[in-house]
Amino acid sequence: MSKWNIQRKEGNGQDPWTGKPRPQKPPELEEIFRNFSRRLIALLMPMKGTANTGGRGTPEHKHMVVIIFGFIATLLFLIWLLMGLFIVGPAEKAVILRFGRYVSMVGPGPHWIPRFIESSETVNIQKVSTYSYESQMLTKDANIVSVALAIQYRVIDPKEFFYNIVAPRESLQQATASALRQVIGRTSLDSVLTLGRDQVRQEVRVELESILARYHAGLLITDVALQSAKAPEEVKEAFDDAIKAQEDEQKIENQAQAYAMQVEPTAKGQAQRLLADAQAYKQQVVLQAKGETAQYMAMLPQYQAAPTITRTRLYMDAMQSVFQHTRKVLVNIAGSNNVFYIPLDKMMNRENSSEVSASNNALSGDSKIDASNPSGANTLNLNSSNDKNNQGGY
Amino acid sequence: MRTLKINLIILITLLSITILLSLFTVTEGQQALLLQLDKIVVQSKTGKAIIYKPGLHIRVPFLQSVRKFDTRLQTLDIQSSRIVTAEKKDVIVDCYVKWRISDLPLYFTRTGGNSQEAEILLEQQINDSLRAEFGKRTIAEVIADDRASIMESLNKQTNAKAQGLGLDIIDVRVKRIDLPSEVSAAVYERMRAERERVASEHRAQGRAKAEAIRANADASATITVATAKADAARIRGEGDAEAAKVSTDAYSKDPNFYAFFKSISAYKQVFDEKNDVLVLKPDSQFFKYFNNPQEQAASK
Repeated sequence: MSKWNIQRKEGNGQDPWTGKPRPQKPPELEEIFRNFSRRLIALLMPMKGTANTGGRGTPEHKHMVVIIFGFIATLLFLIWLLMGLFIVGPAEKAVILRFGRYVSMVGPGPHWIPRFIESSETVNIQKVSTYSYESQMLTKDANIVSVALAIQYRVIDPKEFFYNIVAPRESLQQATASALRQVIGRTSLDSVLTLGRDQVRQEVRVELESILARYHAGLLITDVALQSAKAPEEVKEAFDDAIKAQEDEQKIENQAQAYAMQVEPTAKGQAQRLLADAQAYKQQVVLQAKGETAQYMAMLPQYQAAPTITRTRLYMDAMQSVFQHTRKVLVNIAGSNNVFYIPLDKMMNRENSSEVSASNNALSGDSKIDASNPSGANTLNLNSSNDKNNQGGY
Repeated sequence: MRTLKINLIILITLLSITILLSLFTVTEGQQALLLQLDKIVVQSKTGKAIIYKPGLHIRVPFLQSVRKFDTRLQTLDIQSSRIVTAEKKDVIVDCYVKWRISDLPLYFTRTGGNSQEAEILLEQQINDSLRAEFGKRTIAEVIADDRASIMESLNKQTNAKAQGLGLDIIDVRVKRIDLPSEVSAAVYERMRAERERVASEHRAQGRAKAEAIRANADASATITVATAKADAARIRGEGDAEAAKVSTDAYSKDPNFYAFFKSISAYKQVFDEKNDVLVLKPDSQFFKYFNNPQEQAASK
């Protein structure tokens, strides 16, 4: 003991090899450790201890040994006790293995197991996990569809989950891919995109459950959701156009309906007008006839009373009215069938310039007016006038 | 005495080491084989290999060793391979196998306990079977109708092979059957054409319906108008008839006077225009006094 101390003292302050001064660090901790280890060595190696000290074998010493061992053992035991404690959360379950062999399953709460003999593994059996799978796949009619599916699942049997299958979650993912592709493979594209969606969802679920049942993966499918089923990006445009075409169909039809809505009432209106016109015509014609006959009926008694006078008067009135309103050419040739020319077109155009001289000549009855008729045998009486004053002269 | 104590301590230490070495545990999900000089130890009575289930077990240290095997369900993922179908078209197929060790001694003997070796053997078998099954079928059959039966026969064939390796095949599943990318392009093209067809069909249907609606509307409009015209004509006819009746009733009282009366009123109406030109001989009754005012009662 003293030898060690002496050596220590000699070495103090100087490096034993180089002789240079050491950094002056307080060696207390080191010292304590050294003392402790020395004692330990002394205890465990009695031979050396005897040689060195000769203080071995005393009851005091033995007592010390017991205390130290007891202390260490108690400490280790306490640590071991503490190590055995574990808490299972409210939604969890723990599997307990004894020497690797399954013994029991424990629920939520604090538990204790003898470590090294037993071990435990804990898993949440309430938490719902989600796995999404999205991919393009072939449909029954050899089209390609892009489908996204979400699986919700939870652990239902921790024992199976841990000890029956390697990588249960990955297994679920593989099974999902397989089931989905199988179901889509027997469904047509139209069906996947439209009405068959729910059916696809259910079939995938059934398929998946039957696969998992075979694996005993300890997982429970709580929900299968078909998140989207759509045409691949590459053909999206054409699909959108097809949808638009359906709307176009409706639109064109509606436009036609609008046209029909317009045409039919118009036709009805037209019909109404035709009927109304006809009714009006009928009334008009009848009334007209009545009017005409009324005049006639009024005249009839007068005529019957004095036929010749009435007849002459009526005739003269009518003729006066006729001649008053028209141009007249009086051809005063009796019994002649000579050809003569009347410039009708000129007469038509001559509105205001009245041929007074011609009319005068006509009155005299011996004037030739047609230069283009050199035979000169014809006498014309032309009276082209719309002038009442002129006429008044006759 | 002191030497005795030391010896005792050494003995105890050695003993505990030996005990520790002779003890071993097998965890759930595992099974263990007892080996002696790398050979399977056989039970003398039954002649069967000793297989340890999960739990604490004892062996002879140093002489005997223990090999533990994962007996849980394992997955062999077979990555995409190009497989030719009956119509000589390629498809890309992914599949996976679920297997587990069923006969541990046999498995150990055949594969040396090496799971990779086992998987290589399985993969070869699956690939062979896949090619055989796909070669018999068209793409349509592979995708739609026969998928389940392909998997079933793969299962069967692989299982037969696996039994010889001490393995159990729980499931062989085809995951993906896809067309190669160059064929996919053609599929997209077809899908696009198909959609275009649908689109134009819809539009044509729309136009057809619209045309029908328009035609019906026009027809009914025409009919309405025609009916109205017919009715109108009838009504007009009635009017004419009634008017004629009124006239006839009146005029039949003196037809002679009627003829005269009607004539002169017609003259008045007809020669109503300034541009009308009358070329006359002065020998009508109107001009009776035109040339000879003295004459009495000219006979004309």
